[in-house]
Amino acid sequence: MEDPRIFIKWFLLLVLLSLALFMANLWFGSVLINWGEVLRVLFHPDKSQSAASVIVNAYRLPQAITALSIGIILSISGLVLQTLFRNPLAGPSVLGISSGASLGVALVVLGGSFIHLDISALPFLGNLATIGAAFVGALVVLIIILTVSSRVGNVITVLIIGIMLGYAVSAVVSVLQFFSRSEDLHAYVLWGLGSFSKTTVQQSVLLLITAMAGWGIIGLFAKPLNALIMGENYARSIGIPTRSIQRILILLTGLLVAVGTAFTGPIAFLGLAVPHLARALFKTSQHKILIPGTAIIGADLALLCNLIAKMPGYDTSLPINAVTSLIGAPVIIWVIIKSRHIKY
Amino acid sequence: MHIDNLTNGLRSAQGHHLILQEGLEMQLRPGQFVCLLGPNGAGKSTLLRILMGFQPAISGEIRYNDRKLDDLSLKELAKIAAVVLTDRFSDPYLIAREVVSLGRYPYGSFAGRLHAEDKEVISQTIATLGIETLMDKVFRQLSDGEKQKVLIARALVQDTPFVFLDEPVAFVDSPSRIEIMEMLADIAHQRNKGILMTTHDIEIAIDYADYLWLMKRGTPVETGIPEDLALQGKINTYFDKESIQFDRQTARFCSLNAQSIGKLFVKQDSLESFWLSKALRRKGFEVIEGDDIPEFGQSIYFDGEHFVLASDSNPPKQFTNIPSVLENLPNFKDLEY
Repeated sequence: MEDPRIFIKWFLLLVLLSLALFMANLWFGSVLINWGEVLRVLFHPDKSQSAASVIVNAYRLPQAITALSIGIILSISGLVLQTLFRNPLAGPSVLGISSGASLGVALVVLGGSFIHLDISALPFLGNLATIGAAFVGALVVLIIILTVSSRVGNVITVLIIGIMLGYAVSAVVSVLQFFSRSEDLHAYVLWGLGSFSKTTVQQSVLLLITAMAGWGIIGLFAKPLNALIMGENYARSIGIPTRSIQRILILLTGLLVAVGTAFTGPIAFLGLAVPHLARALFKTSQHKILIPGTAIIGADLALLCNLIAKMPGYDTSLPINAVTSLIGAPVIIWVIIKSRHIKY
Repeated sequence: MHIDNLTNGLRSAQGHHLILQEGLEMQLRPGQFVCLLGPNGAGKSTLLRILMGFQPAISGEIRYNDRKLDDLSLKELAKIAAVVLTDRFSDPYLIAREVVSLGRYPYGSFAGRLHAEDKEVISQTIATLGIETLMDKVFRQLSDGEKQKVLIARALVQDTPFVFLDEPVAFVDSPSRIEIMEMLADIAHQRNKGILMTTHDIEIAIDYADYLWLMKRGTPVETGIPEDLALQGKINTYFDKESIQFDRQTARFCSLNAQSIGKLFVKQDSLESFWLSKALRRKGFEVIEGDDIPEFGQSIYFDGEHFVLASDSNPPKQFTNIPSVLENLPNFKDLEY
């Protein structure tokens, strides 16, 4: 994309879209609340303790903020990992970080049956324990990955080890599942389906801050990321300390994904699909454009998926992972067929 | 650039280093165009990687302007030597101009904005190389020759006294190959850069390089100007195989296996007879060339219109073109000159 004005135009359009989708997320749900009510609840919070106020403030607002934040987090992480590993199929799941989170949660949710204590069922502590376990699990895997990457220089080796670690962790989880009670298994499966609705307002704001900080910091690496498209050797030859940049970026994306997964469970496809959408839309390889482009498309798509998952007008909602996969997979196929460019 | 007592090869953590050459002593000065020649597996690319600091040497020292390579930071080295590598990248949207611009990275801030001076260097370089028309194209849609030119431009805008190129003409068609070699020789001489390129194409290296570094596994590197190395038979020692030999008459490699199926004299006085000789050799004839047709045996000459086969026993025969000469070849099989 030669003309930056076209990018700015698209970017503003996507920001407007995200605002509209955000508002739609507050408006729609199993209960319809009219526009005026939503706006009144948002901007004059003290004046109403109505049902609408509770629904919007306690449920829909944190859910929308969570969706928006996780969209940004996963998409940017996916973009960085795809460039870092020079692999179009890289995504937040490949480093084994979401598997690590799963193991943490599995230990808490399923492991409880071994010590006859149902941690996850504890009303307030249960939620925190799950979040904490997911974060610790993700962090442990991240530390292993970083240790490995400081020993072996080759970034592809790190990728393969991440995937293998993911398999190993999944195996442990299956053993836990095999021996666990069916109620616990049910709770674990529900966590694995992902959800944007388990966060409090404070937690969702924490996620938003994480997403914005991650976006800002990764934005600083736009130029080295551009250089890494040409490969490690070229990047080194123009004075970029590729090893440390790789390690910093793995640490950054790892932390982002760990925080995100802790609050929402593993979310499929967003991190993989959105960078491709951004490339197809902006037709550029330059990270100065791709990073904000990916972030905003990720936010839009996550909000859209959440809206669809809510099935406005019905009493029930769909698991978010089913929606992201149902939207994400066709998007990937469409992009591949349309551009025939996803070949590295 | 000085290479002092260098051991070229691959380090291994277990201590079983793969040693390719020992005690290398070479120099590369600005203004020199040097081709590093050697068969596959000789260690050309390995040496280049060591010179760039991508991997450590097994032992020995490399100095740039009297500073040790080991003491230079990545950023300092990026202002001393630029590279064109064989590493492939095929991002679907990467534009040639973006590739070239990356060469200015060592001069920019971390955010890497291009200043007016950077833009000036870039536009000057692409004008010198005559590749303005390629600049707005997607890099991976360029031909191999065009890609090499863009990569060379990228290395040049890095504005370094030394440029190292790994096999820049390996997958390039013949006209582009000559274009690139001329380009590199010009850059070395006019911009006073020390250019070192690896290749296994000896014939083209001899035509353009100021110096050759001949490399072979397990033997010291031989350096010198191409003609001298050819005369001394060094090119033969480094590259001849049992059946393939460097022919010092023609500066080309030829096969010794060719079984002669007959001898023919071809009078060499025209372009047509030159190409006829070539065709006959390819068919397995031993071709004897000269100016005067001998009295005995079979001989062919071109009379301006036809190829004429003269023999001491039969009346002359005329052929309109080279294919018709070749078609009649079996008839000559038994004839001895």
